[in-house]
Amino acid sequence: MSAILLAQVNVWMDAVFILLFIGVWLFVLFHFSISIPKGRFRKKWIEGKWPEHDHLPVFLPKLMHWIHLLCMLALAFSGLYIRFPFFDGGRTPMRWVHYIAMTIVGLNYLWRLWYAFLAKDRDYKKFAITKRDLQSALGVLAYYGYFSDNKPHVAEYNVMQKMSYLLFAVLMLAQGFTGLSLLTQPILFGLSPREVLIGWWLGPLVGGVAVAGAWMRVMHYAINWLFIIMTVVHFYLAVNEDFLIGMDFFGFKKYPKDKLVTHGHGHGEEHAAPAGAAALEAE
Amino acid sequence: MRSRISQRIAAGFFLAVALVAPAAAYGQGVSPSVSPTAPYELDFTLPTESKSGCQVCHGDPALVRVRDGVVMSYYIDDATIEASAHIDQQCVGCHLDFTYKAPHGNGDWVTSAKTACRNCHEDQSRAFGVGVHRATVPNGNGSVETTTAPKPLCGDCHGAHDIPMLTDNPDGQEAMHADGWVVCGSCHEDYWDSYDDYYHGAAYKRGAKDAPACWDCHGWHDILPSSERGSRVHESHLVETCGQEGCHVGVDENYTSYAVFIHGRSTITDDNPLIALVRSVIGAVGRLFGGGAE
Ligand code: HEM
Ligand code: HEM
Repeated sequence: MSAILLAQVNVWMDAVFILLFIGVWLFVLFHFSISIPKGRFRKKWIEGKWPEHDHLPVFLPKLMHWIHLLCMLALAFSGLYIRFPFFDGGRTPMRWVHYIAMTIVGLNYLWRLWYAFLAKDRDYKKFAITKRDLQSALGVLAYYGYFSDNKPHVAEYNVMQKMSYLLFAVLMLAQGFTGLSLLTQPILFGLSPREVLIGWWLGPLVGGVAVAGAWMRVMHYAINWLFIIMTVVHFYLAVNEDFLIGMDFFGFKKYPKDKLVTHGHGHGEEHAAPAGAAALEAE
Repeated sequence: MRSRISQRIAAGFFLAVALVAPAAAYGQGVSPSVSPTAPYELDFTLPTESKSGCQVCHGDPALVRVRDGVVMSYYIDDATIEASAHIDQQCVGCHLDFTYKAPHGNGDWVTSAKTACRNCHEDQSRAFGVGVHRATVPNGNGSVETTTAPKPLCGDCHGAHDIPMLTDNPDGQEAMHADGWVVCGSCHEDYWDSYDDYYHGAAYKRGAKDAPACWDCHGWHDILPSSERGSRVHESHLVETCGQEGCHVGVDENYTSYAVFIHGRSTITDDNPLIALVRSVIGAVGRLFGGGAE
C-alpha cells in the first residue's frame, strides 16, 4: 500500500515540479514585462537609477556565495542526473560530483555560520527579522506586486530578502539531512548514515528503514526543486532589482563610487548605520 | 542436380588451388596433399584438424557466400576467438556436425553449435532444462513435447565466437552485464521498454554498472515466469531478490512492494491525471498549429 503511494508520489512530484519550474520562468517574464509600462524598466535599465547603497559588499561573503553558487549548480545538475540519467555512463561520476560538492557546500555553510555569528565582522543581524521588518512586509509585497511604487526601506535587506535567505539556510539543513540519509554504506562504526539519522525513529513509523529512506529521497527531491525555483526568483530579483550591487557582489564590476551615499540621502534615515558591513546591524 | 555437385567440386578445386598455390610457389616442396589421417575429401593442407585448420579459410575476411540473395560472411576474426573463454577449444568441439567437406553442406550448423554447450556445461544445461526457455513443455496429457514457440538456444543469449570468460574476469562480467537488450530485450521488447524506473531501468540503459541487468532480478538458466511461485520475482521471493548482496540488504515486504514501480513507471505516469492533462493540452496545441498547416 505505502509502496504504491510512494511510486505515485514520485510521479506526481516530477509532474508538479517541472510545471512549477516552467511556471516560475513564465511568472518572472510576466513580472518583468509589467515593469516596462510601469516605468521601472526605463528608470533602472535606461536612466540607470538603481537603488542607492551606503556600503559595498565585503570580500568573505562574496567568496562564500561564489563557492555556494558553484556547488549548488553542481549538486542540482548531478542530483537530477541521478534521478533522470540523461546521458550515458554518468552514474558513477555524477555520484562523485554530488558527494564532493555536498562536502564543500557543507563546510562552506559552517564557514558562513561562523562568519555570521563569530567573526569580527559578524553580520547575523543583517538577516534578523525585526518588528519593523514585519510591519514593512505589506509594503514590500505591494511594491513587488506593482500596487505601489514605494519600496519600504528598513535595512540593507528587505523583509522578503531576509526571509528567503533564512529559508535558504533552513532548506540547506533539511537538504543535508535528507541527503545524508540516502547513504546506506556502513561507514559509521558499522552503521550507515541512514540508520543513524532516521532508521531508529522514522523507520518504525513508516514500516522499515528502507521505506523511511525512500521518503527521505522524496523530500530531498522536493527540496531540490524548491532550491531551483527559489534561485530563479533570487536570480531575477538580483539582476533586475539591483544590478549594480549584484555585479559588485559577484566581483564583476565595482559599484560606482559616486553612487555610494552616506546616510540620509534618499534612503530611509532610521537605521543607525555607519559604513562597513559589521556595523550594518538593523536594530 | 548433377551440375550443382559438379559446380561445387569445381569450386572446391579452385579453392584448393588457390590455397596451395602460394605454398607451392615458395618452392618448399610442399606437395598438394591429402592428410593421411584425415577422413575428408578436401585437398588442402590442414596443418591440424582444429583451429588453424579451419582458420585457413575462415580467417579470411573475404570468405563470403550469397545465400537467399544475402551476402553472408563466414569470416571469424582470430582476435575474437583469442579473447573468448573458448580459446582452448577446437572448432569441432562445438561444430560437432562438421562434415569434413567443402562446402560443408547446409546442415543446421547454427542450432548444433548453439546447443553443443551442454557437453561441457552440464549444470547450466540442466538448470536450463527446468526454466521457461526450455524447448520441451508439458502438453497437458501428462507428457512433454517440443514447442513451436520461439525459444532461445544457449548461443542466442551468450553469443558465439566472442563469448567472454565470466569467472574471475571483471571485463567479461561487465560486457555480459551491459548486454540486456541483446539477451532479453530483443525478444521481450515490451518489458525492455517498461524497464524505465529512475534508478534501475533508466540508469541501466544509460550504462550504470551497479544498476541491475534483467537477470539480476529475474534469474537466468532456470528463469520462470513471474507469475509462477518459483520465480525470483514472484511476490513471495521479492524480499530475497531485492535484498540480495549489494542491493537493498535487509528490506522487508513493506519496501519490496515498491517493486511495482520497476516495470510500472510508464503505467503510473500514463494514469497520472496531471500528466494526462498536460499531454492533452500539448496535443491540442499541436493540432491547432499542425492541423492548419496541411
Ligand atoms: C547539502 C548537502 C547534500 C547532501 C549531503 C546530499 C546528498 C545526496 C545523496 C547521498 C544523494 C543520493 C545519491 C545516490 O543515490 O547515490 C543525493 C541525491 C540527490 N541530490 Fe543531494 N545532497 C545535498 C544537496 C543537494 C542539493 C543542494 C541539491 C539540489 C539543489 C541536491 C539534489 C539532489 C537530487 C535531485 C538527488 C537525486 C534524488 C533522487 O534520487 O530522486 N542535493 N543527494
Ligand atoms: C543564480 C545566480 C545567483 C545570483 C545572480 C545571486 C545573486 C545574489 C546577490 C546579488 C546577493 C546579494 C548580496 C548583497 O547585496 O549582499 C545574493 C545574496 C545571497 N544569495 Fe545569491 N545569487 C545566486 C545564486 C544563489 C543560490 C543558488 C543560493 C542558494 C541556494 C543563493 C543564496 C544567497 C544567500 C543566502 C544570500 C545572502 C547573502 C550572503 O550569503 O552573504 N544565491 N545573491
